[in-house]
Amino acid sequence: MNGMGHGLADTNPVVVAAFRDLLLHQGLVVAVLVLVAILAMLVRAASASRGTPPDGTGEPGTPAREPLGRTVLRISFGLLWLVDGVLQAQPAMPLGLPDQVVQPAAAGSPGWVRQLTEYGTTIWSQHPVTAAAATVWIQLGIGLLLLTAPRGRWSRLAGVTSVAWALTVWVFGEAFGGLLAPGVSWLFGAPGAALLYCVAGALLALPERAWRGPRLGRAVLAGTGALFVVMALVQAWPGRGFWQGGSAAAAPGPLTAMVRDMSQTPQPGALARLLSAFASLDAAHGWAVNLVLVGWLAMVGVGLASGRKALLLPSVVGAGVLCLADWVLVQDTGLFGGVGTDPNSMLPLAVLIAVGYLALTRPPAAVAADPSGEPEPATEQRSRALLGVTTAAAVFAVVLVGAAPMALASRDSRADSLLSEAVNGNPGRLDLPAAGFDLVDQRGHPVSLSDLRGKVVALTFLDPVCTSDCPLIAQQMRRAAEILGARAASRTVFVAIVANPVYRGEAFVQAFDAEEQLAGWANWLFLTGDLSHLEQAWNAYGIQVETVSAGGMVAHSETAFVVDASGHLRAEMGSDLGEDNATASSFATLLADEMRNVMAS
Amino acid sequence: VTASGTTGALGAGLAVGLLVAVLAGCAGTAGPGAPVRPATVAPLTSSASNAAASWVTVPMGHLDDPLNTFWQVLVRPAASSQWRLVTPPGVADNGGLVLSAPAGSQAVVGFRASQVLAFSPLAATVDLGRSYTPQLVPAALAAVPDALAAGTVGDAAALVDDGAEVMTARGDPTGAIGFRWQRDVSLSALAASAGPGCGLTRLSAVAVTADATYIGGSCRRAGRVAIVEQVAGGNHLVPVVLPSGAAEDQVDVVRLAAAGDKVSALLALHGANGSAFAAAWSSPGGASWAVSGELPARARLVSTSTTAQTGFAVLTSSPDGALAVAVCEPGQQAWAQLPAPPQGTVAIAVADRRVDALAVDPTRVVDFVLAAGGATWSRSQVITVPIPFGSSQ
Repeated sequence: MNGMGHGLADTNPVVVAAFRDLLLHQGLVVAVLVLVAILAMLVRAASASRGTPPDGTGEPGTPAREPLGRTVLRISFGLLWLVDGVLQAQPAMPLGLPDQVVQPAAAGSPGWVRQLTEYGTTIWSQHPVTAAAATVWIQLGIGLLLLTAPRGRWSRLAGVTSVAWALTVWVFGEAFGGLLAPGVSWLFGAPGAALLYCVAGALLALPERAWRGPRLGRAVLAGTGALFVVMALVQAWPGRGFWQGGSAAAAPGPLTAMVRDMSQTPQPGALARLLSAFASLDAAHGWAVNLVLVGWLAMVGVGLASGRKALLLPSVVGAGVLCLADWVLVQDTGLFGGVGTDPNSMLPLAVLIAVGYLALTRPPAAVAADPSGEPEPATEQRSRALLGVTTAAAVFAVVLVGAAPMALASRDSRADSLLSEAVNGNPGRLDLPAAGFDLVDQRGHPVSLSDLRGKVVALTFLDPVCTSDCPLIAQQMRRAAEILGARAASRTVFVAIVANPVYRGEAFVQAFDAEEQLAGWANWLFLTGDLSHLEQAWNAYGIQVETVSAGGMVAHSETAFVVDASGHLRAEMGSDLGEDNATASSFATLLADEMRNVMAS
Repeated sequence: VTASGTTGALGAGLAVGLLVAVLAGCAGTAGPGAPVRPATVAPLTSSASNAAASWVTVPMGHLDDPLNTFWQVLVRPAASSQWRLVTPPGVADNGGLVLSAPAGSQAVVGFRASQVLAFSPLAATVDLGRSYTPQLVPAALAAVPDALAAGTVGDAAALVDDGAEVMTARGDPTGAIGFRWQRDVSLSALAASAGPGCGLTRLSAVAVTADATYIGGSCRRAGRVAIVEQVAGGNHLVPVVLPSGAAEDQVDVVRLAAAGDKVSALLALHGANGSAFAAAWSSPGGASWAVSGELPARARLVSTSTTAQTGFAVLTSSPDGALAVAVCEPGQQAWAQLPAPPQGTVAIAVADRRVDALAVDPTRVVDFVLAAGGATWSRSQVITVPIPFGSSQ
């Protein structure tokens, strides 16, 4: 009924089923690609067992083995991307991510940051299933590519792809990691997990010669050290609440509040109790907790940035312990609640620090001379290279399985019709004579259904003095006409019949049209008449209209019909627009689709 | 860029920023004669009494949630001791109601636009709210109780678009023809008519008599009362002369009311010694005006009322929440203080022989009565209202 809004739950069964179906269908393609990759790898491995090791980079003078730091970085982030991809497949992701992940992340950030994230969430909200499935495959694809392409151009491409996607996530999903929001804190994930993925990707995209010698490791440690020092200063800055804990007299500080919130997330009981205990500790001793934290961050930061060998190992261990503690006690691992998108920032940060240490202290071995002294035959070289390319290309295609539909969706301003079906249920397909009516239009001209023969009619019932949905439904009908295009204009007409027993005169439909700027739309008819004729139409189409006392809006059924050119009722669909622009716009898409189907038949 | 260059650029930037800030500050400071205080605006909660009936409009429901705040109209015929709920049906009234009760059993209720509705439906009655005829203003009524004024012969005026424009109508509000509205005059046009001697800055009320439309507002110039009389010959400022003690006060017209060919106004005076209310009444035809004594204003204006004698009552609340009611009838110099009304009172209705105080909770209206000359309020009636929570979402 009009005036009774319907929001979509994150686990709306229609959307969840569609998400599973899409994942299944795309998963079949992915399975074929992965099978191809595995076969190519097996053949290549068999070939390698007969000849030289298969991990040459093609770069002259490079070591026979991948540098240890790079291996750790590649495999760790490959696994992280895989975990992220799997998390993205959670049923609540299509509908839950914009409201529960992106918008909270952007809250408090400057307006232009929120606008950027809104751009992303608008695309996501209009195509939630496509976007969520795309994210699954892009992240799984990057993870697989990192794991299966150890060296060479494809491995570096994996790094570049990782950078590109991580940057997208950092800007549109994490609102720059919250760096521009007033509550920024290392504890809560600043500078953003995706930025750390981006750094890792950039390191992997470097030519392998960059990993020779200690320079890269020193730079990584200096960079992370500087980050720790800056974050220590931010954490120590007075007036941000981190020193106050959560005394009964005042509102809890941000750390206590955050940990308390996280402890309420559905998760294993032991973890929830651990978080509650830490929240209580911070509430009681907030000043001491922050002092320890600031001191630890500063010491670790200085140690890492100093580059002194004596300080490095303790600093790396100290950083690892601090990251692990924060990951569990504050960030709650980032995996629970149904819309956890990644294990948050602490694991990638710890990996980066470890990799920096390995790159500094365990540079790759010198190039080993081929003991046989005989060059590998060119044909074998070529066939093995071809198999390597096949593996990598097949895995990279997994990324494209997600990226291609998402690119198409982002260019489509129409919301997915699935959303309207999630709100209203599937349209009912009918084939029976439509009930006639004898009414007058907004210009005072008599109109009956038979006058509209030869045109496909979109018919609905609207209250001209409605304060909520009716004007929006009229706008979506106009949007449906735009979707159908100018060529369909001569074959369609959009009709509303007044659904208010009191405010039903021509003056009201004219005022409605003026308010909604519909007066100039030639394909629009807003019909009214005396009460008996209106009631006849309401009854014929099963529309309930009820006057609500004490200042309430007239309640009426929100239903739309499609009548074909011969006067047969062909579809009946709910016209509840839901609670956001995406579900509203989805109604226009669905109505246009139904009308197009009727025209085609 | 060298270090000194950077410093120079920083210095220049700071200087420019400072200059901009100073200029912005100057622009924001009121110049001579500019209004520097917020105008006194009458809350929509109000009542109107005439010889035939008392009408009251009150908000109910969850007042902190606009979509669950529903405005109600109650009427008490002069011959009855009981109030009736007569909220007109057919439109969500979350945006508020304004009511004009010109005479007898007639009244016109205006729905303020809310959510996506951009015009104001009306409901006209000639039988004390037993039935209504739907009408409309093709624009949004302003958020003041006198945004709508209906005359006894079918003329009407409406203050619309947040007080930027006045629309007038000719027609039969209760018959089949209905009001035929036209955009009549804008604030800027009225300001030109009122002249620089007033410096009209805002519009706040309209009233209609058989011969003229009256439009109230605020003058920038001290000591001037912004009531513009609109007659066939043009618009002109009416000659309201304030007492000498108020000659330097800035004046807001808070309410306007018409009865027959007389007009009355509730004024808010803002002077060096604080704010006060005063009432003003025209002679028949509006040739001359009488002004009452002043009523010192308390912290908050809760509601206003027009009395059956074409006087005014104001219900105010002090900072500690204590309520007070004062009434001023035509011909009286002094405001009469009534006994403090019961807590929760949101509206006062002053009829010929009794005064009602109406208190509301989310779903009930409780009426307390003060008999003529009485000293205590007695509980008279409780009306339970079926508030349609959730119906506007």
